[in-house]
Amino acid sequence: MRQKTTVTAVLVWTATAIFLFPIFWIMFTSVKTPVQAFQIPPVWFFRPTLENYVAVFRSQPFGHYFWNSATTAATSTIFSLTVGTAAAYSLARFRFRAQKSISFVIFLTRMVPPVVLLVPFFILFRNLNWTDTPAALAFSYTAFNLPFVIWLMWGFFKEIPYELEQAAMIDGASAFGAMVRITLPLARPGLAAASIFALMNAWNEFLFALVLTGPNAKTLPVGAAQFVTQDAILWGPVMAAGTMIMLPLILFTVLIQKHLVRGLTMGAIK
Amino acid sequence: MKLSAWLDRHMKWILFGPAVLVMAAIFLYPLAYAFNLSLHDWSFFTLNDPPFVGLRNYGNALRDLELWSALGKTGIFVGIGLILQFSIGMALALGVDKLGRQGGLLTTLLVMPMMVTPVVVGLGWKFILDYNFGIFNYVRTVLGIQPVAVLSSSRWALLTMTLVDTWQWTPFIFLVLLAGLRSLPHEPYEAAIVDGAGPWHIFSRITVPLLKPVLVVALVMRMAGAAKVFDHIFVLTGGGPGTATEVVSLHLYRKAFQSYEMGYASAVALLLTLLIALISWWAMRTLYAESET
Repeated sequence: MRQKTTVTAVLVWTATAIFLFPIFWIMFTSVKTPVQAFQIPPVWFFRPTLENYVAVFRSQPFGHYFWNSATTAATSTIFSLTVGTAAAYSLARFRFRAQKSISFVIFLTRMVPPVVLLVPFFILFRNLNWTDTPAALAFSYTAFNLPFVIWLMWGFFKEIPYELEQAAMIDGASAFGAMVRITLPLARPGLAAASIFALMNAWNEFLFALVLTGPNAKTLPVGAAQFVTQDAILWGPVMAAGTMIMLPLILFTVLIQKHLVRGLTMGAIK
Repeated sequence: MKLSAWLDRHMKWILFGPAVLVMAAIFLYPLAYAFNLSLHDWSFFTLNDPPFVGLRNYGNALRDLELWSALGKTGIFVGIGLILQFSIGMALALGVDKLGRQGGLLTTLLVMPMMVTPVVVGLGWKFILDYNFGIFNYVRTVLGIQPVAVLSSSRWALLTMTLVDTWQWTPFIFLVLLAGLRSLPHEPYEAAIVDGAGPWHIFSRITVPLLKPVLVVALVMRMAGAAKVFDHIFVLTGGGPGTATEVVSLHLYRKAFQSYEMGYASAVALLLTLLIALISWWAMRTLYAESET
């Protein structure tokens, strides 16, 4: 029995190492000198350098992209969280005759490939002169974040007993007051999970940003992808750019793992 | 006082209304707009006055061999990907579940690939798989195997895309299955052990049937996710070599934003939505049937 557990441990740890290797390799290459990054056989021992990071900021307005990514993600998250949480609360507390249809529509919007909305968005934004603005991009991300927030928060609110609010209302609180002071604080883990996911979706999104932005509103993923269209790819700076984009999310994962697991498995497990 | 009473009375719609308005503006209206586009010959040359062509775009879509081939490639991509992700994810979940205390650390580490920005996933793998400078071919040479340019080989490119997708999304399946495993009751297992059932028997007769609802939801979510895939393929191969990795979202992208056949692309997009709606409806029905029995 003991031996079997050891075998399992070795197998699982090996698999984990394989899964982590690409992430390690991106970061590892990013601190080599641009020349070392190209060397085969690979260099394993070297003095780490930030040369590639400097190169990224020299060759592209990366700080500007960073700012765009952050503001777009934050705007879309705050907007979808406000509207979505309100709707989810209403769905959980009040009777809707079309409850089943509503849940199907939300489910459906989560299945639709984003590219389906991209063509109308492209033309509509062009007509409205909205193309290449962070606001338009944030607005379009809401299309996917809002249904997700409603879905997730609906599940959370259903689990918070209504009796708590009723007790507060007997003590003289209004229905709104009871919601704000009793239920919302209890739903904090849900709000955390929902905001993390909304932020992550917006931060990682590529296709809409590619089509709907130009030099003004361009986000990090589009900036990073541009490195590849060049004839000779400078792997060092590319890996440095990649590290800067993914590192915030990876650190996040470690910090808030509990909420993350909850959010990811929500819907699959009650 | 009066205001708060009014607010309370209409609370249901004050809270739900904004979401309806936003969804109408952001989902319904664009879809209706796309339908209108799909009835017109909207292309680069007819920008200002696209002629009405009725259902011709739909007919063209159904006759478009490239579209069928893109759908076929999407099917292969999704199918092989799901098989790999479910088998590896299940094995990892069973393993981690057994390991007890190390499980927390392992879960944190295993979840990481899923967090990486898909564009960065594409860039990282492009470097790893690079014919001249990549560590993949270096390892092959060391092992005495002929190096191969997987990304520009029409034979290997699609499979490579599937493997990259598997790398990123197996952690998701692992996580869902692990949570599922931990929520299972103990009694059937104790009974089976008393009856002297072997590990394979326990797995196939107890674990899998009990996990079935979880498996179905994970399957639907991954199917939808894989049908959306765009980013890493765009970065890794751009749909090439030729159209070897041009899955349906890349095909749509090319039609709409490189050939500017917006009317046609809208028709394809709507057909795709219809297809996905049907699959979702079927999946939801199966799910409900599952949870009611």
